[in-house]
Amino acid sequence: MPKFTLNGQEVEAKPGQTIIQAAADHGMEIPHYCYHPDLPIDGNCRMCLVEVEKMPKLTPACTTLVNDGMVVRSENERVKEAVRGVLEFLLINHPVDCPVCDQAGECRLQDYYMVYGLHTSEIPLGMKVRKRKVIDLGPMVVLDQERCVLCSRCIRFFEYVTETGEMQFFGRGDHVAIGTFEDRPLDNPYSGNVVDICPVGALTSRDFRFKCRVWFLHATDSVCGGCSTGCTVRIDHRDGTIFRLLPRRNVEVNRSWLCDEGRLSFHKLSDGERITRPLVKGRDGVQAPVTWEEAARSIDSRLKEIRDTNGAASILGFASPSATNEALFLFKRYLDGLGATQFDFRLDSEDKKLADEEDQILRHFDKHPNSMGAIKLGLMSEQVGGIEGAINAARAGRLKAGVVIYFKPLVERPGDAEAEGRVLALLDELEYSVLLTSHKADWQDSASVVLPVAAWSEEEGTYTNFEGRVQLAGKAIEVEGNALPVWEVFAMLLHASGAESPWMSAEDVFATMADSVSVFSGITLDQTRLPGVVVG
Amino acid sequence: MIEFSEEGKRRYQTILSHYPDKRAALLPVLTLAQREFGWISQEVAEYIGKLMSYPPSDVLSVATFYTMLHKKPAGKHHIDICKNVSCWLMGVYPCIDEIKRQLGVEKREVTADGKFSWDVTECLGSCGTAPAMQVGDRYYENLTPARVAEIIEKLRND
Repeated sequence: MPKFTLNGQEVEAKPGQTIIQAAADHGMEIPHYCYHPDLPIDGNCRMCLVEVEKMPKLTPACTTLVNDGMVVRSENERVKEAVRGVLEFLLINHPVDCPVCDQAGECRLQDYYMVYGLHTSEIPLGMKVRKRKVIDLGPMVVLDQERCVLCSRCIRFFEYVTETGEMQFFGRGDHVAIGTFEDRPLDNPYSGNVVDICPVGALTSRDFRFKCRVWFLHATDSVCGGCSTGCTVRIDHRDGTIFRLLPRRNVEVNRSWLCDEGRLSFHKLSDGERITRPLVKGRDGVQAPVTWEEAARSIDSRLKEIRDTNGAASILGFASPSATNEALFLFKRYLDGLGATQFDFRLDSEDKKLADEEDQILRHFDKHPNSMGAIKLGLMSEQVGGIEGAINAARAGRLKAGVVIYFKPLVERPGDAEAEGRVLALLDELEYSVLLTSHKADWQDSASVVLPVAAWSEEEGTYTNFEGRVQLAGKAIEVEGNALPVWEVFAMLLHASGAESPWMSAEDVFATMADSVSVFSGITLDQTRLPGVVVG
Repeated sequence: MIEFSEEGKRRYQTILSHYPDKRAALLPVLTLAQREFGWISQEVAEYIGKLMSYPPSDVLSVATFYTMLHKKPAGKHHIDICKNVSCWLMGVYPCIDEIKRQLGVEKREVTADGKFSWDVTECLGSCGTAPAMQVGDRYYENLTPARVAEIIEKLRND
């Protein structure tokens, strides 16, 4: 472990680390534009110049490896003067259109200007080199060439991460500009990432542009619900509305990236009407609103009645691979209490065949965030054989009642309508069915009881991704109407059935789950924060 | 869809044989492409990209860096005339005016018959024989306006 002195303090670096990386590990940010922890080092922006003792000139911290005994200064006048000079050069042709720029508030040019610059531009406005603005680069990205500092992060992203090479520098001298060949749209499932990594306002998000100033947004740490990769994300929201999803850096899962489908997945939540009150079908066959207590009592007594007449094996628990671990745990606990043995969650046996939506970067063919959680909690049985098996068993009269959790997938794909059709078929075949869902749909009339539940982002809970990594997703926005998180519904049902129900939060449920399910044993909720914890 | 001529393809293979890696041959191949097609259009960039396993953006990026690769149509004879110190002192500007008068077009424009285009350039490395200009592969030195008119006349009948 090389030891070096950073601004008078002796610190340790990992072997092979550059100065900028070692400093970041010790909580010190050296200003930079082109350096990015998940991209190859380029050393072109010269913002990270630092003084290293015995080196004749200032040296870039991003390309200089730490050596044992090195003495590095990044905050003295000589360094500040150099950085100020670099910044002034970068700003020579910058249009300074911050009042109408979407990056304002999270712009590195603004930030560093306030720390290092504070100079008056010596270039008259009329002498600035003009470049092209508002160039349409496809469904995710809008390009403004004037604001660019030519750090090449976007170019390196397409060259080394997606290996498609859509973007490049064109021209030379002070006329260099970034762009795509013939302004072709970025037809790439990861193109949204270049907006995140652009340190200035050159690449802005078509989806988020001009929707909200970033300083009005609140951030909640979460996990993407778009597929079973479970990318670590941040939800930016305001007044109960989600404005954007951004990747949170998680070296173990998604590094700094997020796919476009996942990035836009939150729009699905505002698509369609929500169910706001529990609905129970009366004798007239019409669903009517009831209170939660009435719903819980009626469900519990009806399920027990069916169990006592037809046996516990006639009750089906059909979970959703989009529900949280906590939800699935209490779901199973309640049905176990009734003696039920028939569990499954597989909406379509075709899942594995839809491998075309998968790639080697992030996207996983399984578009549900918690299939692995459902498997670990024992919710998959060959006895039931997926939803098709359940439909057949119900048709044959072996299954009489069912508790079904269903969430519309956040990432659309062909076959969704068929999967929904199979849920309807199952509800139709069952004599008594309880459906927990978030959004309204006409096929839900078939259910005996419809319970409104919180959708993704509206509750705290953990998801288990395809490799068994458990990660915590926070609650960003309030649920609509009287909807409840799924775990609370089952806590209520457990209470109605006379069992113990001491849980006040998802954290309580997690603790109980860790105590009683061996794969989760010994894990605390805190451990499921970044980078998450892999269970066996 | 454009393509190298048979002769061009042969030359392309020869160029490749000079480099350890196909992609390293990009610059000479672009020069060849300019000889074949006259200028590096986006269509040419895309063709070269396919040929050499480069994304078209990389090819255009290199082409836009080098001023001697034309990014818009050039005449059959493209004149590059030096305007650096030696040539300037030895009287290149009257020569430039003569080119303009003879051809009737501004720099980087092409004559109506497609035969000529011209541009001013930085040092051609021919200071000892200034003023100098380059047409295709050939240098013309010790220029005077009269000599420029003569050369253009000769090329016009070429």
